[in-house]
Amino acid sequence: MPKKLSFFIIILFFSSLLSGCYDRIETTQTAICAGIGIDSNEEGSLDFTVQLNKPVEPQKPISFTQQVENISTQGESITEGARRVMLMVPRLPLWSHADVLIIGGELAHRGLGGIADFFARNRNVRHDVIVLISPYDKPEQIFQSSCPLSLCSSRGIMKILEFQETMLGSYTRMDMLHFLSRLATPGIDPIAPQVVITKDIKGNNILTIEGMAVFNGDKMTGSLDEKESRGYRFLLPEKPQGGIITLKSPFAGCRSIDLEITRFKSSIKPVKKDAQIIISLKTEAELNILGIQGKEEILTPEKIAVLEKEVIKQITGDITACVEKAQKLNSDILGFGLAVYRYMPEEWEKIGTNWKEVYPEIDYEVEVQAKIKNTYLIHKVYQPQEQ
Amino acid sequence: MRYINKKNLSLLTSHELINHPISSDIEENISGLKKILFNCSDAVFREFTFGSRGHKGLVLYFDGLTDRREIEENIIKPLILEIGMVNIDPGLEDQGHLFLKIKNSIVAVAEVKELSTLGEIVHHISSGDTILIIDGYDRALSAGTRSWQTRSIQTPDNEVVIFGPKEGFSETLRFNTALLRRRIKSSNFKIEAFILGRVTKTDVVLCYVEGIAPPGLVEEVKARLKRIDVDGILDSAMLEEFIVDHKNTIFSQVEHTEKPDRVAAHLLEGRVGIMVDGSPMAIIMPISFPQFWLSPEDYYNNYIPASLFRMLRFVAFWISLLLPSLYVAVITFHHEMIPTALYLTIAATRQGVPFPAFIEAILLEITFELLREAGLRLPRAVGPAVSIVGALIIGDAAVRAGLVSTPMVVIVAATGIASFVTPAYNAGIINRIARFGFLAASSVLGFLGIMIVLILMLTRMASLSSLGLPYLSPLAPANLEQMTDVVVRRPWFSNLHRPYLEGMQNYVRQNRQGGGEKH
Amino acid sequence: MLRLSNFQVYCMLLLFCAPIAFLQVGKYAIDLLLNNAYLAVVATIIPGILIIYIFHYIIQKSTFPFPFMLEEHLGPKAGKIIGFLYSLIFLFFTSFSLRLFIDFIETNVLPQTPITIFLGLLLLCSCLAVKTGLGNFARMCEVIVILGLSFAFTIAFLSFFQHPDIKNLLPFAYINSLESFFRAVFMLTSEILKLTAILFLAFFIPDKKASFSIMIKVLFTFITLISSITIATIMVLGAHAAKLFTFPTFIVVRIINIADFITNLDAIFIGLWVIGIFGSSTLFLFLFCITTSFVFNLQEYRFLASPSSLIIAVLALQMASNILELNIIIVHIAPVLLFIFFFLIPLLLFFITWKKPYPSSSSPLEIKDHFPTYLN
Repeated sequence: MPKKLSFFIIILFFSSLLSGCYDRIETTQTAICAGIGIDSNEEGSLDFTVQLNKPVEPQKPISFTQQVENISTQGESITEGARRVMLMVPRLPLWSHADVLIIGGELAHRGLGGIADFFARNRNVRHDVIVLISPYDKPEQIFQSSCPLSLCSSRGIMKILEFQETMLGSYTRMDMLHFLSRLATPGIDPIAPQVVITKDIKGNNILTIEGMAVFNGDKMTGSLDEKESRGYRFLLPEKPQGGIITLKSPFAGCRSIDLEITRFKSSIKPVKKDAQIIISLKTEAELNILGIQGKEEILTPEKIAVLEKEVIKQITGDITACVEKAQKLNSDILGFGLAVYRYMPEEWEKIGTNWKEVYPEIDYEVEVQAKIKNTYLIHKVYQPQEQ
Repeated sequence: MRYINKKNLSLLTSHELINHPISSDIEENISGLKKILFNCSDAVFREFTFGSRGHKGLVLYFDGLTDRREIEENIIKPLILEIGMVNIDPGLEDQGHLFLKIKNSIVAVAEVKELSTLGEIVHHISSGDTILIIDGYDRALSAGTRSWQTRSIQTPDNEVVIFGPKEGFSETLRFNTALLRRRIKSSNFKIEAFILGRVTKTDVVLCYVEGIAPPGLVEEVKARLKRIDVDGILDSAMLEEFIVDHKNTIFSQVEHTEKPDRVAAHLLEGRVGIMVDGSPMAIIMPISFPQFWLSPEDYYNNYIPASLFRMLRFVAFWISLLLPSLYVAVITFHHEMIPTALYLTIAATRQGVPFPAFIEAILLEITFELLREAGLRLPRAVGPAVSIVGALIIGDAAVRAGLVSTPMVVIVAATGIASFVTPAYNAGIINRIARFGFLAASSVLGFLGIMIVLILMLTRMASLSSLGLPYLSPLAPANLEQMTDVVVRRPWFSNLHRPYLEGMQNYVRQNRQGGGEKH
Repeated sequence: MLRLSNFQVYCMLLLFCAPIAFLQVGKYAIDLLLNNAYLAVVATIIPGILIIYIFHYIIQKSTFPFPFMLEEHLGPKAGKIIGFLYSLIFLFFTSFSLRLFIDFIETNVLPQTPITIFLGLLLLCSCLAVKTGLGNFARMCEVIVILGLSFAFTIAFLSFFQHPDIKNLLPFAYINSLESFFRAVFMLTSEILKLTAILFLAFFIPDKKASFSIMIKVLFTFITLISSITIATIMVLGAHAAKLFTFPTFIVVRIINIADFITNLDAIFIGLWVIGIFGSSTLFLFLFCITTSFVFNLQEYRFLASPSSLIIAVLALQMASNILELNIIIVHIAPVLLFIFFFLIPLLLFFITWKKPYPSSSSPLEIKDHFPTYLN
């Protein structure tokens, strides 16, 4: 036994010292990939861009400028493009740390079928990568623009998307897993937020989110604007919830009212009316009053009821705009088809095969309920002294 | 009668003399003993005459092992001065009357024995007794005058506790058994004595509580002790290797302790303890691996904090075993597991380091072990200085010189601290050794390597037993009632049963219906 | 003589059935039934209980543990021949489960490390475990099951927090073809058929009547585990996406995210899964060694472990040239083999024992003298 044991220990120690440990990558040989960008070019091949992080020195004061290197390559496929990075970077990129995938508008319009396979198959790129569409600019331009107070634009834009969900509530995140899942599932189409370049006060290029790209199958067919995106978000609530609604006041002595949405839930269900399938869209929201611009005392039960009606009108408007746009673009981003499959599988057997012809014509009804619950620190309208 | 021994003792060698009976001629005895104790400069021969008829007597002892005052006051002085006060029938003198009188009425020592061979004499004086030989009698008297300089009862250095008794064993066996007897005041508490070691003739005792300890277990330990045939036993740890079930392993199958309360607690759970004269450590058998996480203190503390501390120790056990290898596996194989921000920092600190992570870890671990070993061996006065120089200055300098990265220093330091949390020292050693195996495996196959070494370790541990008690019990074979006492500390009021040992008859600890149990 | 506790037998049986099924079976049920896959998992209870009853009956009517009971019921010649076939089957399944695991590791974790390294290391572990004997291995199984089961349920539990969509389970019980439903149930039942190991193990527990309740417990643990992970997979990925991936359970583990800090736990998952596979393949190796020693009337079985591991290694490497062929074995060959050897032959034994009286001595201690000496 001691002989065997010592033999084993020797083998173990020598094998650990040999350089032939196949999958070992030392930290010093790695580069952290923060974002991946893909677009097609005129020749029909793919442009591949990768944003690589510079390591952060722990003891040095941080200057909030981009600490990244952007590398662009070209290739027939993503794999080729990604491997061609190795011709320019003397380190191994760690794809698993990537936070965002930015797909150029051109490629999105051409179709994502080819690249979806790569992201489903590749074990290195994680499925929690955030998918963004850049409708106007090339991904490398996106990567070169910065996000204020962020060391890295791809991580910055991911955080922007995350925080606006609770604070503003306009756009909805889409990760790779759900993107792929929607692409594979019949009766629902993918959707992804759009990233665009804008200017800050100094005239620098900074990134922002504007609209959401909708797909018909794997092809991008158009985009939702902010109002329609809100409608989408109301129908498919994701955690974290939140956001605000700003209303034009229905009262004379008051200009506008801000309401915070604390929680909302919704359902998309098909119902049968006169042998016709109608999609019933229901949303329930709970809101708090966040601000009132005006002097009229509106915080009375009767006026709150009026206010609630106004909120319902606004939300219904958002939802209707979203559905109309989606039907116009023939993109089932809300999963009406899936809803039919889930609740009326027999009907889906009949109409599922030519769903894309049925979908633009399908009727829907919107039902919104809103409850105002809280008024925060003051329970009346703020009344300044009359001069 | 007087010259019944025809053989002349002076012609025999000292080796032959050992088994020789005592002669009734005192001169012969003296020359024999002097031959046996040749070159033993600490042997004291005091010859004297006493009584009205001028009897010759010899007092023999080893200087340093005996209380000289007691010999003078209670043996020599009564013989020389007070013999006249005792009424000795002159006619019976030759029939041993004088000898009996001296034994019964003159030697004023509590423990007196009659001896008949020279070998016995030698054994008794070596143990600190005083021998009295009187001319004309083929017997000797041994008076218990043992007294030597010894360490007083102190708080054990290696098992520091906050709650509970602070006494520790010392090097004298009798004091140690006394400490135990004081805790278990029952006639069922047995202390069986053995003499082991051909040369050293060391006293070894086996302690158990009859009626609780399984009889088969006690018999097995006795048999194993009797099987030992070695020149000397100097410490209880030497015995360990003779009596454990599995010898080729780093997993210690006995528990060492210096604390009588811990031994008593184990004895009450049916285990047996072995103590060796000259060693302050008792060894306890049978023991299973999860026992090493348990500190005796747990049982004196409130059970809720005690349970939390026990969980902390459980975490510390895994940290001290796996943390460096997990770190190496993660930064060389599973980069995706580290959050990106943390990875950026680690990557930056490792930027200038020329070694692979594995070498870096091994270097630091070995340095840490060196410092630890040096800290143990160094004189008390310089010990702290070396640890400070080693830990702070070398560590800081190595980081500044770019030889090691700061996270690695943090990892190794955390591992080191966690390894001190294990209450049992020999369990800590298991971790210290196994850690290197895990480290090497993790650098070859990452997490998978760690798991494979874990399987091998588990295989080994599952195949071990301590006196037939499976090494992983009560985890495997599973015993739900006892398992709860491993993960958390069961409150005393619900601790109804003793841990089950094979063959145990009496495992009810508390009798909830009132009226105590048998023992 | 070897003694096992009821819990040890439970652990060994669970370790025999569950680890491969945890990663595989849910996926094939989803392939066939999409979002109703979990119904097939639950429906497996019915054939499961029937099988358990058959096994229990055979145990009650037999005096000797599994390979020896073949001789007892079928006569010496037929017993040996079928025993020989069994030893081949056990050999096949040892290499099969190892190969499955290695392919999984190759595709998902360490793609550049040669396959032989994994094979060698796992076989080393298995051989050492066989050499320490069944009693010690039973203790390992306990630790592995306690560790692995809690981890597997933790995975299922955590994945219920990764933005699951409960509507993914709809439409409820809408199964368009009964054929695919029965195929899914068959696939799942073939995993449960591995309970056959009880025919061997039941003779070492204090009371072999307890084997029924042990098997029922194993069945329900298995069903709970597999159905919860299948439901979690469907809810998190959606049935159509789950159908795409080779190992959807693994994809679920990959997206588990605890507090935005602990992410990408797949390495830990694989690490713990290794132990499960190790247990499963080692148990097969045990059965192989014991059956082989029965066939050739050998006095000892442990020494067979090391030479047979060479055969296993070669078989595992040559079994399939790529993962597609392996998938064919998984879907078409393995269930059929399991069905023939772990169901039809026990069924035969069941009918043979139908007419037989109950053996006089039910306690294993009383028949100790007739036991093969090496089973201690």
